[in-house]
Amino acid sequence: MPDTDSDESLMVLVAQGDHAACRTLVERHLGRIFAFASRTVGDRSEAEDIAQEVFTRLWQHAASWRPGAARLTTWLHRVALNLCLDHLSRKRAVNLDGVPEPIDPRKDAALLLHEKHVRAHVSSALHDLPDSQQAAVVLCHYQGFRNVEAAEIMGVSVEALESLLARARRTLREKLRAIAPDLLGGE
Amino acid sequence: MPGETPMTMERLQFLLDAYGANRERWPEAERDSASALLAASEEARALVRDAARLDALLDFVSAPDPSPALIERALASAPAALPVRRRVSRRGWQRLAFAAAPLAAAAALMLWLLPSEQVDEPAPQQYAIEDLGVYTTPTDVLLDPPGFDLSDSAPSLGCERNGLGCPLPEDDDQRESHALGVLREEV
Repeated sequence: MPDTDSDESLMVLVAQGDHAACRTLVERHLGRIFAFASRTVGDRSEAEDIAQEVFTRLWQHAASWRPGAARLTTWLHRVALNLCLDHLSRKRAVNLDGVPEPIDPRKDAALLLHEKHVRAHVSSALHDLPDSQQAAVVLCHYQGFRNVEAAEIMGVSVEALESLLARARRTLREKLRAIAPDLLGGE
Repeated sequence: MPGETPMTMERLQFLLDAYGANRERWPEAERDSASALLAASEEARALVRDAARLDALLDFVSAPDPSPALIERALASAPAALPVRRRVSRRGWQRLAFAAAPLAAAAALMLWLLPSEQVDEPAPQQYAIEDLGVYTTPTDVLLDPPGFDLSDSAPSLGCERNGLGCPLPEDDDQRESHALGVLREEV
């Protein structure tokens, strides 16, 4: 028997205007999509707008949804990624003349290692990455996608994804070594 | 095939750079050979510990949970306007039948009675002629002001029956009854 609670079954009901099915999908997927957008764009308000837009597009495409063409979570992340990349490119175009605030390694180590400050620095280093590298890290490290799924979402080969990930993590290691040398084996 | 060849230190370093220390994120085909290398090499284990430190730093970047308001925003554009298809049970159909039966009987009775009343009812002007001279109440005065005929001031265009704007009878008596009939029909 078909799983009546599966994403595919719920999408059929959504196409028929079943509001309860819409709510189930939102409660099932909104958290991950919002987390993805939040980590990618680094701004709660923007992440909320992006998450809302993802679901607006989901409702719009419900009638033409083809079961089996793609997992719903993959589709949702692909839409979210495109919206995040659009946002990041606009933001960087606006801040073209701005210079990001550098991390000051001379700050008190104890203070820097405080959770809030570490989070701020890691987040800053993450958002300083090129967009595609940042997206690859968020998809694989935070969202927990396997390499094949993440590559599908990004529209690249698995080898290209691995290359993006490796370059991203090497860059992060170098940037974060300045604030947490003992954590990353710095001198 | 990567899974059929022994894992090298260089390949392990690349996997750690790309996917971090969590073996669940590594390509499935390479997990066994990587585990064999880790079991045999202290250098390999040191590389994994180093990658785990970067993973721990990345985990400082938490993501907020979506607010209830965001859930409602995501649902705001859901296709709720479409009617929800609900299955009516056999008992529901029986209730509907019981409720509709008296209505159907009443409608049939009306259809049976209505044509006979219409056929037997005399035309309004015939009422007026028959009742001429019988009215003794003060409303007769209002209905028939002496020396005033509404049809005198109405246009004659579009006349199809004896109503306002139609040509008047020549005889005074007929003319008076005509005016009464028109007013009675209007009232």
